[in-house]
Amino acid sequence: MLYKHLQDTRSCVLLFSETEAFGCRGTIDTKDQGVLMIFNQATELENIRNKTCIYKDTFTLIASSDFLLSENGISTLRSISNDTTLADSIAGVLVYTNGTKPVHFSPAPTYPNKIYGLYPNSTIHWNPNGTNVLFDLFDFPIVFLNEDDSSTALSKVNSNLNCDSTQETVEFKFEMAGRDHKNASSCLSSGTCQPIGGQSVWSIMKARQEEVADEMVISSCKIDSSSFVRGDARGGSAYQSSVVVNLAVAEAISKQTQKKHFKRDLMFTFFDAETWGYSGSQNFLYDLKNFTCVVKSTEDEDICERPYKTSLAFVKNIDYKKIKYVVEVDQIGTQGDVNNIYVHYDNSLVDVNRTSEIISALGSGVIKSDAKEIPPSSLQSFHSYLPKGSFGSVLVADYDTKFKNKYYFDVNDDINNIDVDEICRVSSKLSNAIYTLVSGDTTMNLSANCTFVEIIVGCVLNSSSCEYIPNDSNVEPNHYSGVFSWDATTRRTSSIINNVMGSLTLFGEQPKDVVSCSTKLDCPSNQTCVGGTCVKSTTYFHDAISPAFYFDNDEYKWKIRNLSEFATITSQRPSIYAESNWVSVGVRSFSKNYGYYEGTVTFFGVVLTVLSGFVIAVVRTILSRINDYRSSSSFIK
Amino acid sequence: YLALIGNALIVFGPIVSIFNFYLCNIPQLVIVFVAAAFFYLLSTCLTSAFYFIPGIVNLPYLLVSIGVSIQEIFRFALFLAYLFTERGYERNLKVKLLYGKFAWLHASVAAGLGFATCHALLLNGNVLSQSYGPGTLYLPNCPTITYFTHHSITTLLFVLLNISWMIIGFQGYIKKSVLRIISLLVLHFAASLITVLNNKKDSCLYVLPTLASLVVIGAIISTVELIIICNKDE
Repeated sequence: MLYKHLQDTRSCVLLFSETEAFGCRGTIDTKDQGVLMIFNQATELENIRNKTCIYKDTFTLIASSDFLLSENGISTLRSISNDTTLADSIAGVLVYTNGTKPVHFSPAPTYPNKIYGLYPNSTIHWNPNGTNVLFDLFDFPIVFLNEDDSSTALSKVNSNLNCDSTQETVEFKFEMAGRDHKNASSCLSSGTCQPIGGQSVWSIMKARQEEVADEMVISSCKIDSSSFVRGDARGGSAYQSSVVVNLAVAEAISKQTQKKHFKRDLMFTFFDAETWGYSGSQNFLYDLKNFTCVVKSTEDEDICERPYKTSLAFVKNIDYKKIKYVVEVDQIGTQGDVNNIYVHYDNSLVDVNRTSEIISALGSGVIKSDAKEIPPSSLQSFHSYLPKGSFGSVLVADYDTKFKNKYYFDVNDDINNIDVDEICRVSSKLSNAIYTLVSGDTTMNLSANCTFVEIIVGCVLNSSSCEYIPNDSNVEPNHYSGVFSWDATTRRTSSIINNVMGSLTLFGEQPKDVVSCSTKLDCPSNQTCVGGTCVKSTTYFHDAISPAFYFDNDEYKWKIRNLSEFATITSQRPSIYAESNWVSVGVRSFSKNYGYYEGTVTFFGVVLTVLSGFVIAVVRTILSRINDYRSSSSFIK
Repeated sequence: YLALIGNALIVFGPIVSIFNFYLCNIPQLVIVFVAAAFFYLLSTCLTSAFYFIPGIVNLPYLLVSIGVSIQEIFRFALFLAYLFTERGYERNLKVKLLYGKFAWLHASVAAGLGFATCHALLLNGNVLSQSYGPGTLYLPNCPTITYFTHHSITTLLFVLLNISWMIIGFQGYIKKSVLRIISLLVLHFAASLITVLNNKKDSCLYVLPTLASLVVIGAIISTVELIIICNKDE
């Protein structure tokens, strides 16, 4: 085969924050292919450069994931990137897998989202295995190979080491439209990137229909993850475990809504894009406090045209002043020797009495964390947007002062990194706690449905199809939020949550005619789209994009607000993250001749052409001398 | 793109030279050239029909023999068409189609070039287009030169063979010479069947030299024909 296109490759992309670019900058035409060379130690790089048979001075480096995804490997990659001369020689880096798992690895920082939280000067290292490579910038693509292509690539390396007649070369087509920009503002104005965001989901189980109760309890979790390669955001313990718990709690409590009279409204929130400066929770709380619909839709009173919102249910159903209890579920059931439940809260921020009420509802078997600060979580958004001391809050997690998760935001944080039985156990405990808070009943002993827990774990962490997604196909689980879109169907995680919660929060008489739908926009005004059907439900999507962004309808592009507007609203700094547009992404390998070969063939072709012309001219001359060969006129009388 | 240019020149450089310096000033020969190309195309179309026979692709020798036979039938058909045209031209317009002692030689060269050009386009067109790009390919049958160069050289040899075969063929049909016709068939079958060995390792070490030898033999026979024509009274 002339060209072998490497299939199922996963690559890092180019992203931007407020001040810088990070990720992989992609290729330029003059440096998009390189001779394949293996390197598993930093010292091998000079040996590669000194190979006299390599005429082209660009290389494609190939390294094992064992080496590259280690401290030594990351350090080597950084030193290559910082050495301009060397980096200019690198067309790209291929990473092959040899099937082994590192003892621990995390591409995330040691304190994720620190500058966007309540403690920007904190010295706590919640994620001690963090390398921060997520936020490094590389001037070349880094592509991870599947197992088949890994062995193919390794076999090709050997001929290059031996200086055979051909160079085994790898070409990257990895065009990042925002390549030349240095920050989000610059690339947004050129239209070469889009804000990062997703779709959060919130559901409300009201104490009384058509009324807002005096107090509200919120059970919250994060739903997105990240990874060095965005497509590898498996998010096992961080944070699909919390999604599963939150859904299991909702499922357990939903069976009680008809039987018991709640005294408080109960809301479940599933915040998306939290990885990117708590975008989901910030947007939600910002809207609760500040949203005003300038132009309502004339076709559906539930939709706002400017600013665009697909549902205004949050305006009607939620009064932020009545939020009195917030329980956030964090990483739960991470594989390890010991399974403990820790509660985190900041005494200086919470309503102490209500917080004690939450802890009391949780019962025995929970341990107060030694940390004086709350971990990186959506709770930090709640505390920054809502008045200090106005609500009680607790974060429930399986870690104390540092993450139990050795693979935070790594591809190895998958289904094998969680204990499903522990998740079910914690779900039962939380179900009872939340139920106690909303109903005041301490006698009920709720149990989570472990079968339901297993199904949801399969949906979010297995590559098999999920029964909660109509016409689902087998897809590798990926919980990176991606670029923002108003179309919630682009977010599989959000769709699963919406369909589960939507079926648990049906109310009133359902429509007699079954109307199929893809989104809420396909449904009548007072209905939402759940599992492909329009129903009456109290589950809604909410945009999970940093409130720092706004969409300019006149210029039809995203822009960044003046951040000083936020000073009066929140103590939290709003995040700015964007992802470059991709023009194309692909990798192919091929054999390439040394330059002299093609020149020789061309020279031979030219000589042959000239020689044949000369021979023909000679033959013509001979024939004309022998006979009467002349110009064409002599052939016609 | 250097590989594309080089390989294209190997195949089409001689064709263009012959056409430019030999044929293009003589309209009748250009028509013969085009007609011959068409006849070759027809022969290839007919040969391709045999590929639908189940299992025949596993019998390359049979398939090649069928192709060669059909080509020879069309070569004869081309000769008859040219003869018919020439006689009709003389009968109706009272002038000759081509004058001179070498009229039949020129016609056979033009026809041979037509066959060769169509053969080259069909055989090498697709391969040439794939040579555009940075990648190359070496096959076990010829590990020292690229697949594209090997293909171009083979095509070039067949271009030269086609011209010499047409010269031998036309002379054989005019003179009704069994010896010439048998030589033509032997040369054609030998050249085509030897290419079946191209799937063997290092086969280019004997296939290409064999083809080159056949080119030399064809050139010698064509030269002998030329000498015979020279010595013949008009």
